[in-house]
Amino acid sequence: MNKTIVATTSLAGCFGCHMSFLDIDEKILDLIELVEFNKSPINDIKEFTRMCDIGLIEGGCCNNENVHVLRNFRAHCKILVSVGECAIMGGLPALRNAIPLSECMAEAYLHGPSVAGNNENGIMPNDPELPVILDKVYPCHEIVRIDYHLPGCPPRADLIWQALVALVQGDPLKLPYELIKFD
Amino acid sequence: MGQKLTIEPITRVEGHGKVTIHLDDENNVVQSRLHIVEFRGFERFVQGRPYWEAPVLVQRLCGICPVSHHLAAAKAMDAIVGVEPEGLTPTGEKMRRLMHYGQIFQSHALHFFTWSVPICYLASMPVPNKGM
Ligand code: SF4
Repeated sequence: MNKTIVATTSLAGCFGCHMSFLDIDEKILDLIELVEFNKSPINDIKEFTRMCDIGLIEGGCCNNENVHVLRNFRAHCKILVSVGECAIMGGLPALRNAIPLSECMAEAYLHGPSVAGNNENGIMPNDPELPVILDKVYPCHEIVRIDYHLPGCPPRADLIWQALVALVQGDPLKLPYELIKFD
Repeated sequence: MGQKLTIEPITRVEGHGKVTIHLDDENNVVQSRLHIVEFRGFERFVQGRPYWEAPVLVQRLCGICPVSHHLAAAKAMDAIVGVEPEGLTPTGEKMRRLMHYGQIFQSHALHFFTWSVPICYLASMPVPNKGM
């Protein structure tokens, strides 16, 4: 049987969803029978080398680089899945959407207790290598079409596992209610 | 101006980073830079929330070491409600220590089994791997 090709990425997330995925523990041995990873932080492949069947997205979009990576995933993955609250609705980082970005930056680099008095010239990160921060944090489906959403912060390992197996086998996603959580 | 090599993303750290290595015309390294490319604004948006939310909010700083952030916020809560470190109950203190030891154990196992070992293994495979 040809293995299903899977790619994963972390955008404006905390890597918790990837960690939850790894919490499938010994099922990782079953996983490598079923799928082969392409671009993913798990195997450190940095660029797509082919079309993939399934893309798992952790995190929403908080900068232009996130948007670029997400569009690249859409172009290279037949099925795209938003994994976790950050991807689905911006998650915790989207709490900044009610606050002007300049205030958040000022707190982090000028006024916060660990920086106050140490940044007399008021320097903000401005290296041209840095991505441009967006005014708000955007959920993935506002940028590209997303085929499935797996809720949770993070979604349980078993939920990710069962969803992935169903997608690999082409079955409908019938995920047990007990496995789904929304926090 | 010489060449610039970019390693992005770096995947053996939590957080989102990239490394740029700047070369001169003779391909000598002029400068190597680590860029922390993510800004989320936790410093500001946790302000104004109910204080007891803080430990759960800051766990989301890092999915790899959430316990450290949880305990740091728990200490800040102690300070807010006026509990000195000596004022913690022995059970409370032990539970925090247990959580922290659990995290250290989990973190080492994670690093070894899912980060270091596969990368050594994968590095020998014919994939375009620029291993970090
Ligand atoms: S959904 Fe939760 S666990 Fe997943 S990346 Fe976001 S904050 Fe982390």
